[in-house]
Amino acid sequence: MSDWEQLKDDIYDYVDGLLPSEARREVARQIERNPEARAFYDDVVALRVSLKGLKYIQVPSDFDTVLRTRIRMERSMSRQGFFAGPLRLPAAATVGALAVAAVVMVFNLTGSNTQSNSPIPRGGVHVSSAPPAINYVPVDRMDIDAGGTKLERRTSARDYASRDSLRGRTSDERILTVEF
Amino acid sequence: MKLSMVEDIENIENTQRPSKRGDKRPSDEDLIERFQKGDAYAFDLIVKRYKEQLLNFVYRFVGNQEEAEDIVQETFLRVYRKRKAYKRIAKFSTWIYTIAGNLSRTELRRRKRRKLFSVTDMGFEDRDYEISDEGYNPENQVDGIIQEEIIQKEINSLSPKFREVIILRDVQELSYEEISKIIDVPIGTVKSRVNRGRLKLQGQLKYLMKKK
Repeated sequence: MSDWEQLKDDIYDYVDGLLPSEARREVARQIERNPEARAFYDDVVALRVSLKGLKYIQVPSDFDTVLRTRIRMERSMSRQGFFAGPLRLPAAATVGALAVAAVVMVFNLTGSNTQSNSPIPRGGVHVSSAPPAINYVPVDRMDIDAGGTKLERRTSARDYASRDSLRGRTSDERILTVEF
Repeated sequence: MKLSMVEDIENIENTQRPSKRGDKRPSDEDLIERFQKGDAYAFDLIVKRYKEQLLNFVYRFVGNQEEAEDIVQETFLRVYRKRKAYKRIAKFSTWIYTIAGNLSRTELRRRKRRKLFSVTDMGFEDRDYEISDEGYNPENQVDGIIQEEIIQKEINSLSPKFREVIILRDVQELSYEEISKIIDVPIGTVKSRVNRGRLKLQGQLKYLMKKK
């Protein structure tokens, strides 16, 4: 640090009243003798006066009322329920965990139903990333023979196959898709 | 005649500040301790003591009065909520200034992220003084209010780390030690930031100060 830089720091400390008496006297001498130091000192003092002189803005008259209202609201909210107050995070975490456990249980129960040997699809949960299923009866289970023709049968089979491929589903998934 | 709640609080304050003979006013630390034990009036006294200085600190820091009011309200709400977190090892003023400073810095960061400037929404800190005619001469035009605005504008042109220490030191007149605790940096760093901030302001406000 150059002498001038050091002197500037000393002048700041001098104005702040942070220097011990001997150093203080030395800086005062410098300010007296050195015009550059004097000009710098004047600038520092003028800035301090300007900053100190900044007007204090007034607190709005309704400040306390607004604060009280906010505190009251917060207190009433914290009294309102299980999810309010300091325990809200643990409470929410517990409920979330229970909800996940419940979904897993339901899924497992219904999953075991679909593994039955019955040729007739049973109610259950279809878990697939495919778009929502349209419920229809698989072509091989349609009773077309009762009134349909060979052409109708072929058309129906093609239609279902193309719809399935469009939806990105396998025929097994289709079979699992049933109406509740 | 029934006193309003605020007047009531003022009476309490006044009764606890008996005379110049001896300052029997409860310290901030006493008040927060009373509040921790459930004395709601103590909180009111804290609000009364700090609302003005905090509002002015935050206002000078963020440069917008409405935002400053919101931040100070939030500061007191945090004191209310986290009263148990205060430990007497620290000065209460340091604690409350730290909260207000942190909230102000968060607001400045949020504002920086938003960067959605609308001319009509600009606070004085955002307005440029470019609407000037040919004959505009700062040395002749400066008067009280404009001068204040110019000083504030220059304060706002400092980066937040310099701005905060300048306000705490030269506007709020806190000690370097207290500032060091509030912003959690060593005293030497505080002094260096204050001096650099002053140097910058001196350069920017030179014409204004010469006028004075």
